[in-house]
Amino acid sequence: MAEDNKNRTKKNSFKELERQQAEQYRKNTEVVGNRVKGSLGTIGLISEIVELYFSRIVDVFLKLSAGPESPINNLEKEEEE
Amino acid sequence: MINLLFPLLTKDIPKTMSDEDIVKEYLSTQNVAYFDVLYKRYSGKIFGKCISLLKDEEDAEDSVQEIFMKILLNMAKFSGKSRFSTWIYSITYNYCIDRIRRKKKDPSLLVEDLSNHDVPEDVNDVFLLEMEIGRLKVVLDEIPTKDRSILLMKYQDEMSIKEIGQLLDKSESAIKMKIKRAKQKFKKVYTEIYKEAV
Repeated sequence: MAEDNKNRTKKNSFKELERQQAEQYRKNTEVVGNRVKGSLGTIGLISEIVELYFSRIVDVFLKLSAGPESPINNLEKEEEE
Repeated sequence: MINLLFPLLTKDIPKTMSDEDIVKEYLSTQNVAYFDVLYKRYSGKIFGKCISLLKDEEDAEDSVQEIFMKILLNMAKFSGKSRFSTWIYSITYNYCIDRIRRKKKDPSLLVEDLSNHDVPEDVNDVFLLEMEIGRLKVVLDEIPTKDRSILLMKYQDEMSIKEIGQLLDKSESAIKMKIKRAKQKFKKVYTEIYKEAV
């Protein structure tokens, strides 16, 4: 702590350099930001689609793995009709 | 889906809202507007670090995009134990150092400097903090990446010794020694370049 307090000065050229570099970047902020947000939108959209259709996909796989519907079910359907 | 089509407007988010609160809101709502605020707050600073470490504007721009993707994908892992700024800067330093390793195989990043185990002379902070910006930039570009990054962590990001230690996985005493050596290296390079000024 004593060392941290030693040599204290209000000026900080490192911060000033950071400010200048950030300023230099400002012109590109929108371009890169839109690219990041584009990726973000894509990720969000994919997750929404997965959320929406995942249960249906599972159903489809279950049906596929179970094979054709059993004849008993078909018989019951015919009786109902 | 509605979030993607009608995101909350950035102006609706108070400017005084802390980074940590914004992260919480983003994680609970997934609203892009919260991420946008973080992007606006930090993209310039991250670019500054990238250009200081990578020394190439195009590389730095690509890196900003990739770093933000990393931040985005790992946001849920932010525990809040450290400041958000410290967390994203640690992602930035790790990313840039890894990129330099892959591209140039900078030897200073692969092995510990064993050439000098003497206790370095203490360089006054004022010497670094009050340096003219142009000279600071030149000298930073000339010193090894490991020295440059530790000086940026201490004087630009104002990270504590403990935080730097956690980032680099080193003890606090080791970090203090590394900072001393980096400052000494900085002064040596400065003296070589600006002989007339010393």
